[in-house]
Amino acid sequence: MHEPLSEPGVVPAAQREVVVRVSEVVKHFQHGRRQLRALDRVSFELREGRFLVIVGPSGCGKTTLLRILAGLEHQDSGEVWMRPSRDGHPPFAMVFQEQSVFPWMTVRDNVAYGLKLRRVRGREVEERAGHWIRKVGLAGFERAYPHQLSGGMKQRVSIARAFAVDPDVLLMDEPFSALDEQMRTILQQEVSTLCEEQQKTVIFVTHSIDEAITLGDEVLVMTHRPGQVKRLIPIPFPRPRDVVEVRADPRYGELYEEIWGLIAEEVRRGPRED
Amino acid sequence: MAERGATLHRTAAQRARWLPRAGAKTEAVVQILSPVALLVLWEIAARIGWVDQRFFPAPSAIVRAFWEAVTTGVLLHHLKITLWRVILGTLIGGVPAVLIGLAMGLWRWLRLTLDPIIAATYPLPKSALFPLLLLIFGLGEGSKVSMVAIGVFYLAVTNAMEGVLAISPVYFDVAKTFGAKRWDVIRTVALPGAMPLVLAGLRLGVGTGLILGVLAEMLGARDGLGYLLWSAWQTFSVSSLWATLFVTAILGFASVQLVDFLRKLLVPWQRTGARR
Repeated sequence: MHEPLSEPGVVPAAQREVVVRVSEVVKHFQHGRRQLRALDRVSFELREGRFLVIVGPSGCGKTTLLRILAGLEHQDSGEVWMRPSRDGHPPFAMVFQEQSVFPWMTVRDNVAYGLKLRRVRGREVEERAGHWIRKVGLAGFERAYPHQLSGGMKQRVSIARAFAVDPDVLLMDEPFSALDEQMRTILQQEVSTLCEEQQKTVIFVTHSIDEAITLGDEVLVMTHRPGQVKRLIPIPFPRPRDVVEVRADPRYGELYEEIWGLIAEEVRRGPRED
Repeated sequence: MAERGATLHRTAAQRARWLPRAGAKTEAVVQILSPVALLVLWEIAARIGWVDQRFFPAPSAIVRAFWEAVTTGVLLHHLKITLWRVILGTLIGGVPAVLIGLAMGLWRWLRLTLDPIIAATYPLPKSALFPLLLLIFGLGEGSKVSMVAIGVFYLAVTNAMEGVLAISPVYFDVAKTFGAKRWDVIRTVALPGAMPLVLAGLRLGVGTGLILGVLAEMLGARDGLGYLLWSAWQTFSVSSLWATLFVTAILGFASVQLVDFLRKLLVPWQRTGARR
């Protein structure tokens, strides 16, 4: 397998511990009288600190897969395993696609949300929430309510809220799809840097091939419904990355073409009915 | 060509000539002046006999009647009684309504059980219940207070339920992914999320409760603003009828203001501009 260049002193990716394991996951949806197969025997493994991006045609079940990982939906068969956290809390945090910042809480209370649920002490809640608010560039907006913020700022709150509980795994469901191009690029860079710095294991769902290549260590391309793993493509760019520089790399074009070819094939074929 | 284009879309300055926008101060003056102007016109019309003084006594006569009722303490006495009935009725009707409504929003089975009962009894004009209430509670406070309570209850219960149902599912998902337990979800998502509609329901409910309360006082009471209105009609003292109407209007206005104040307190996160 094509591994990214590893720096001295860093454990090569292949030797790191497996944090997420998905095996033979099948999921059906009831659509009127018919049963539609959304996911068909999906399997993959993810090692610690790796950034996996899942791409595929619309309706391929990539969001469903992520929701199963988050425990928001349940597979019909197959296994989903995530390394438990030491404190018994969920070992992951999720960043959602749509507006998911609580409108009734200030920026500070939103970021502190997970910490309070974990019964973290008051002083520590303040410190950690404050730290992450500054980290995502929202210092001075602690007492603001979400309706006073722009779309990009709200998504920063959502990102800070997820990082604040220091999860082993971050699940991200098209977190930038509602943002404009410029804001998307800026936040892609910030998330890339933060995940690298905090050594997070990430599963990131998107429909953007560009985003997949820019952010991922590995790109998992899914087939049209029922969603299966079509191919797992390693991305050779070292990290930390500059998301703009990466796009200028000649290999970027080749990867784009390769992934586009795979997805286009699926889009043209359309869903297979079972 | 160019000239035609210019007439199609006027410039901002040209447009401003047709729809002049005065400063905020001037606009406020206009808003105060228009009711004053109406009162002045009314006074003149009444004095020179354009309107029938028997039905529309001059504002000065109403003020005199109002002042008399205030100084003798009559108005205040009846106002206090109605106010007490509205407050008591709102508490008796509103508190259980909000609790039941929230619970119905949260638990599907409770909703399925209670919704048909509420839906079936809601269209019944509440005023039609008054004879029955008189039968049950007699002429005492019970019949009037329960009338207010019924008016508040229906609007508060349906709005509280809708308040929970209107919360976007993504907020419940967020809570679950952070490991929220059942009670955490209720405390951090369902209650605050439903609050805007809960208060909207109370606002409407208090208005309806007041209407029904005054109506009940007209039909079966020996005190309260409704009674005062009715006796003014029976004695044909039109000025005091108008004075009482005025006080009733103020009571309605004040109670809505009170709920709005409560809303600012409980829902500080709502867009302030959204109050139009």
